[in-house]
Amino acid sequence: MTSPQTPPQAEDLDLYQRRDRNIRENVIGYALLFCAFVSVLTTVAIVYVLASETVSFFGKASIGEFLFGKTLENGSYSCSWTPQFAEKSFCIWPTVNGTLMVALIAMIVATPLGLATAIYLSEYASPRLGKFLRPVVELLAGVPTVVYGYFALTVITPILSSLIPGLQGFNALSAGLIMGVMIIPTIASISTDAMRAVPLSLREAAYGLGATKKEVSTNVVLPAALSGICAAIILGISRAVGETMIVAIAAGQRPILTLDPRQTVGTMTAYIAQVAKGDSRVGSVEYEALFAVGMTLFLITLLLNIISKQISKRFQETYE
Amino acid sequence: MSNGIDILDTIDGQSSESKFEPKLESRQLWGKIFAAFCIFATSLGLVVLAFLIYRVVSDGSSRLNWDLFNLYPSRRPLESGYKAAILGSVAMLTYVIVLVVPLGVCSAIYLEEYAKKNWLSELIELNIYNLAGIPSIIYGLLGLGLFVRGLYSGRAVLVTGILTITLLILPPVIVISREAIRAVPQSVRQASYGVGATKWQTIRHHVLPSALPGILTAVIISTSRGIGETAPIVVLGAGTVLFDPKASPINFGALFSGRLGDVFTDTLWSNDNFFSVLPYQIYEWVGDPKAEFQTLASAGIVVLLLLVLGMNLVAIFLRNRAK
Repeated sequence: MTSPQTPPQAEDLDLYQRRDRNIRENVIGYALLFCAFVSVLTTVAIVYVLASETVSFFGKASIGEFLFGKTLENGSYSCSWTPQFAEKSFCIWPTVNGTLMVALIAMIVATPLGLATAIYLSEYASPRLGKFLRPVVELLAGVPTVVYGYFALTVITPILSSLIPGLQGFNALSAGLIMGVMIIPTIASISTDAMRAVPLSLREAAYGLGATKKEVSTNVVLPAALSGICAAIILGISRAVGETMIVAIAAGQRPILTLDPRQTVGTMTAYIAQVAKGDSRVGSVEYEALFAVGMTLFLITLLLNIISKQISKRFQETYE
Repeated sequence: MSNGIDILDTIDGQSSESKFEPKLESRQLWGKIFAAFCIFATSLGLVVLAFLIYRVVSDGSSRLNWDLFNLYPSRRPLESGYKAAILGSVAMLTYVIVLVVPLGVCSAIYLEEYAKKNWLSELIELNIYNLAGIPSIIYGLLGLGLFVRGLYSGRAVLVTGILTITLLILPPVIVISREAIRAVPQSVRQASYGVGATKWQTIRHHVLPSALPGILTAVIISTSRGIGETAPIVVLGAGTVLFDPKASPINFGALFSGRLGDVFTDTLWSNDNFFSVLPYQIYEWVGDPKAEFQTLASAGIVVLLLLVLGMNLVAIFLRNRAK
């Protein structure tokens, strides 16, 4: 930290107290800047830790196999993710497949329900009711995810398996459904803000033309708030992709290439949790694979967050 | 205004024949169906939450007694409890608050009151936004690489958990605290400057007290998320522990008896201070095939939900009172 450089000025010289005050003010300013800088250091540390282990991972496994799979000795093509087995293969797509399938199911649940909740809170509910309901809906986001995982495994899976033949004990479907419930508040909360920012005059114009409340909500407010809603949905996807405990508990830990939601799958996050829980030696390829998967996950969520930020920036410029 | 034309197009301009048919009945019927769906969607989450609470209370009722707080984990489910995990969670909660409040509030003050509009403040701002969106499990990997491997050469001790969770909840604390500081009217600051106060005096005596309820809300909601986090703790490599965590920063016995060399032995900082937290212990037992362990997991979930939802309710109450 550099010492504050305040040249003494003529009128300051008799006011010693003011000079002391200036020094103190500057020191405080730098101390606050240092605190704010901790978060920048966090990012640097995350990137450093992930990148250094990922680089040594790719010293042992090929990037080509990581991205495109490999051709076996008998000529057949193989893409599987088994760094902890004796027969190791390092093709990332089976874990990405699991992650995307669970996230897709979650978004199919969370998008309509989250938007309908947002429309209810911003268009239908009276201000008093809205003021009461909103924190209650947001309470859902406060439930620890290990609790949702327990619920998916012990309540949703038994119910579903009596309805759907061929459903496995660990499956993408029940994890996805419960993850959808978890994401409702994320989508609802941001979309409500976007809808409330739509000027009242647009609604009044539509009512003046004889539109019903539903028509105003879906044909006027929804399109006008679209960029905010898109940002909310993308942020929801990012939550779904990064969620760990629900999938680790209810979806299983077997990364395979499949499109069947009844199957046991393995997501990127579940893989990290599973391997970290066991004791993998530092420097072993399993340990480094952990960080390579983490790096992939980091890049995917970072990309989603940046897209979401760009879209919501546009929305702020429109109405504020 | 182009929006006006769009509305005309979408509401009554589907085709020229239908222009003079209001179709009021079907439109109002759809309106009712839509309203019902919106109410259903809003209440669905609450129904799920209520059903979830009902299920864990009824599943765990046989184990909801003081044994839960007095027993350590064991192979025999009926002799197992959450003592070490609950004490671990409480110690972690305390230290996380001690660390995150000064760091978070100071960052928020800097960004709202001090930062000039330049590349540095934009970098910090963008960075905090992106950090808030990074999955918690990535913070676990950060803690594993930086704190567990770097500071404690591979030992997942309480300090590593505290530091990891602090970094995890720092971004949301900063974001919500900034909103609270921004909501303080500019006139308050101007009045303070007007009577000759410096910037820091203004912040210290006028801005912070007005923003306090909002900041408290931020801290409580974020720490309640942090205390319910399992994924980063799993990645750090925490395990089942059979003893209470050492939470004191200084060994007072050694200090008062004059053994100054031992002031830090058997304290928070010790490298054998392994820890467990409540959600982690629940995760261990959810995965156990024995049915009695599932019952125990349910009972643990009741305690965790009481803690987390209780903190959330306090935060909501504070926020409403501030308004």
